[in-house]
Amino acid sequence: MDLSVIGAGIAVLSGLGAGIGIGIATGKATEAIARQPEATGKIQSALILGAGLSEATAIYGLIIAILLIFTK
Amino acid sequence: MFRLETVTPIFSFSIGGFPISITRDIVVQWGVMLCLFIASVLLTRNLKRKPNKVQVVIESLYSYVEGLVKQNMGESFINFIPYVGTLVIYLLTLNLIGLIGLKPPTQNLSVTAGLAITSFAVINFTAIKRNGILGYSKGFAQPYFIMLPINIMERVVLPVSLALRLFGNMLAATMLIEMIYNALESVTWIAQIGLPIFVHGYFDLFDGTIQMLVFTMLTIINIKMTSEHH
Repeated sequence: MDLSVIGAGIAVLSGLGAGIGIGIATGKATEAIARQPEATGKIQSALILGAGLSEATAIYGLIIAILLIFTK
Repeated sequence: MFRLETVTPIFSFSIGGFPISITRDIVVQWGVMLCLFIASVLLTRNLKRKPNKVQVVIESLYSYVEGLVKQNMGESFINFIPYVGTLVIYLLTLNLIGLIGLKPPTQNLSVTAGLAITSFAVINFTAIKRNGILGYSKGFAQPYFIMLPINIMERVVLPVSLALRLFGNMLAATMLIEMIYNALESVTWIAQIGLPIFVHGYFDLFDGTIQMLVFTMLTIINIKMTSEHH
């Protein structure tokens, strides 16, 4: 049994932090939109930018997992 | 089963002992550049004062890029509008080529690394030009002298993270779409026709656009912050 497969599985666990972080940020963004609906455009662009940045850390884990599985 | 294939060059020659190989991604990028050049020459030929429909679309694209630059960088950076506009159009076209049937070139790490190195060069040369070499090297030691290694690391990690983010997102999207096609094919041949539209719509359109926006916004904000730190 190859140990690199287990390593790939552990590497993908880094998506946990990204999911929780983006979920909390989206909750706060919807609260802000509910309080002040005329600022929806700016709040939306800030949310999308922050989600894209925070998802990069989850993608790093995915790249390591792909490298471990598909190359010897 | 999906296998990562090695990149084999179509054509390879060497200039003075330095090997240059033309791969398939480079040829696709040349095709994209040619199409964008021809489109831009044809569409801006007869500009009138009362715009017709095509001109309205082009003007709205220009005012979108101008709004981005003016809101985030201020008035003194107005001559960056051509560079930002080029990044927006070029990256969007490269990411959306997956809709036609070719593999997007941004799933090759060399392509995204080239774009990230270009942004890194623009950011640092702007800082040097606006502050001089002395002000630029003094900016490394701010606010305390102990932060010198952290500042250097932050400047170097930025293009690495830009390249890896774009590469990882595009690679994951392409692999998932291929796996879905393979799974549908093993069910029956007809199932491949209608169902993957939603998958393409999410992965190619939505993901490609968002990654382009993140790359552009990070470049813009870093140009402003690196040259105004001092």
